[in-house]
Parts: sequence; C-alpha cells; structure tokens
Amino acid sequence: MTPSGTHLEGTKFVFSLHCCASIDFQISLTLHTELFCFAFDDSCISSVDGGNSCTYVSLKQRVPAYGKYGSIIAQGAKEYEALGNILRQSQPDWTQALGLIRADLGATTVDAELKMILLATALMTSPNFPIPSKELLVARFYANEVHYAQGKLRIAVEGRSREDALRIWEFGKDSWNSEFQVLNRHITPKVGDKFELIV
Amino acid sequence: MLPKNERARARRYHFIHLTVTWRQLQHYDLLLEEYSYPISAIAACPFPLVDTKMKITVKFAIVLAAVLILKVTVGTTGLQQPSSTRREAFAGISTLVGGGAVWNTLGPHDAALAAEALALENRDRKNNKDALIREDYWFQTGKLPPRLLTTSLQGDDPQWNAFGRYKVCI
Repeated sequence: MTPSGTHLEGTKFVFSLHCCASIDFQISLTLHTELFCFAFDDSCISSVDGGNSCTYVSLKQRVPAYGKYGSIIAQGAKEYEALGNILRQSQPDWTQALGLIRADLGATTVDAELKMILLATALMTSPNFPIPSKELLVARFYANEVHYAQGKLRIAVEGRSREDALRIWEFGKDSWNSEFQVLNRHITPKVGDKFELIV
Repeated sequence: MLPKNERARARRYHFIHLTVTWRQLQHYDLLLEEYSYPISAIAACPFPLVDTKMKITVKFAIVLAAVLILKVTVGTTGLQQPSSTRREAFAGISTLVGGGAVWNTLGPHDAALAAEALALENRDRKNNKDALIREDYWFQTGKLPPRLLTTSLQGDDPQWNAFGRYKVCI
C-alpha cells in the first residue's frame, strides 16, 4: 500500500475517492495508475491519509540514485567552496583555481552539474505520473544556473579577473544552495545525509 | 517572421523587462510627485494672504531655478565646448534628468555593479539553447524563479507545487 491509500493487488487498483464532503466511495480499476492519474487528475490528490500517489517516489528508487550521485555532488560543492576561498585571497593561486573549475583538469564541480540533474530526476519522478513535476523543473533550472555560472567562472579564472570571478562565484553559490534546497527535501534520513550549503 | 512559439517566448521576455521598466517609472513618478507637490501648491495657493505680487515672485523663483538647473546641466554636459556634438549634449541631459534622478542614490560604481549582477540572473537565455537541459522551469512556464531559494519549496504555494493547484501535491 502506498502512502496515498492506493492498494496494489496485482494489476488491480482500488482508489479511495473523496469527491466532496458528503460523498465517499471506492472504485476498483484494472487501469494503469499513471493513465488513471492523467485522465482523472483529482483522483491523484484524493486519498484517505492526504498523501499523493502522483508524487510518491519509493525509497527503492531514491536510495540507489543517492548512492550513485550523492558523493560526487557533495565533493563538487566542497571544491566550489574551496574555489571561493582561493578567490577571496588578495593574490589568488590561479593554477589551483583552474584545477577546480576546468573539466579537462578533472574538476568535480563540472562533473557534478549533470549528476545534479540525474539525481533530481531520480528523487522527484514518480512512476505514477509521467510528466515532470514543477519541483523537478525548478531543480533543473538551478542546475542550469550552476552550469552557466561555472562556464562564466572558468572564463573569468582563465582571464585572471578576480573581481569578475568573485561576482560570478557568488551567483553560482546561490544557484548551488538553491539546488540543495530543492534536493534536500527528498533526502530523508533513510536515503542519506542532506547536502551541506556552501558558505 | 518568427514562428508562433518563438513569438510567444519573445513576448514573455519583453513582458518581464517591461515590468521592470514600469516599476522604475512608477518609482520615478512618485519621486516627481513628491518633489513637485510643494512647488505647485505654493504657486496655485488660493489664500488671500498671497497676493498677485507674491504669486509672481514665486513663479519667477521657479523660472530662475529652472534656468539655474539648465545652466548646471549645460556646464556638466560640456555643451559650451565647441567640439561636442548635439547628440552628446542631449545624451548627457537625458542621463542627468532621467537615469541620474532615479539611480543617483546608488552612485555610479554601485549602479554598474547592480546592473552587472542583474545581468547574470536576468540574462537573455536564448531559449535555453546553451543550457545543460532545456526543459526547465523557466522554459516550460516562462516564469523566473528567485536567484536564491532560502527555504525548500512550499507545498501550498500554487506556483511551485507539482501540478499548480493542490496543497497536497508536494
């Protein structure tokens, strides 16, 4: 039984519906859940305990995804923070800074961009609903912002422009932290540790 | 002519920018109203204590102030220099009267920094052509999320929840 109160009996599903305050009835269907949700949108939010089957993502899906991508993303965030510390120095070590932002030099910050999108997709895509949720779209938006910021940051570091690099780094930091705000809500203690915000 | 979906996106993009401009204009209108009200109140004062001579004096003072402002403007924009062109002079005046009035509290350096900071988040995204993944929140809805999310998305906010309508979707 999912938290929404949807009973799984082989291919047969039983939905508890609350159409209004006075009417409460059940229907048994052999439809696929996602088709039912797509056709009857209201059914997806109507359940006994107030959960939502359309946004329900099982631990079975979330745990392996976190195990696969979580460590790279966390490492990328640490490297990004280290890059900020380098840029804050009066005379930054540009060679070291380049190593933290250029993909060809093995920077995890760049590697983490795509991993963020993959993790968000795994954490927020419910098998009960085929369309990406708005929350997933927001997560993608911030991953795109990180990608843009780090592209600009690489150019600024290559040009050794400290002021520009710091300004873009701040923008990128906001994007990283916003991404973590969206992702962390789905990382329960059973899934793993939440991502630490960049300071 | 652009295809239909491109036109829609262009409209959305311009709407966002026009909204900003309109807010600036509103701010500017408020400033004008604030400063012009006492002057017009004195000039149009109906009390019998203020006689015609007084009204004329006040009006003369206003004209004098306008002339002084014009003189300062001409001085700062370099209109008196023979080498300056008419276009430069008008550009200088418009900067002083328009942009300067609104942004002078920031100072030129801060204003430049603010404009650059604004450019990062409100940049031309070129239809997400260069993005890591094209179908994101901005691309799908045309709305721009804030630069920094300070809390996780609220489930009861219809702007963010999964289907835009219900409290229990997230």
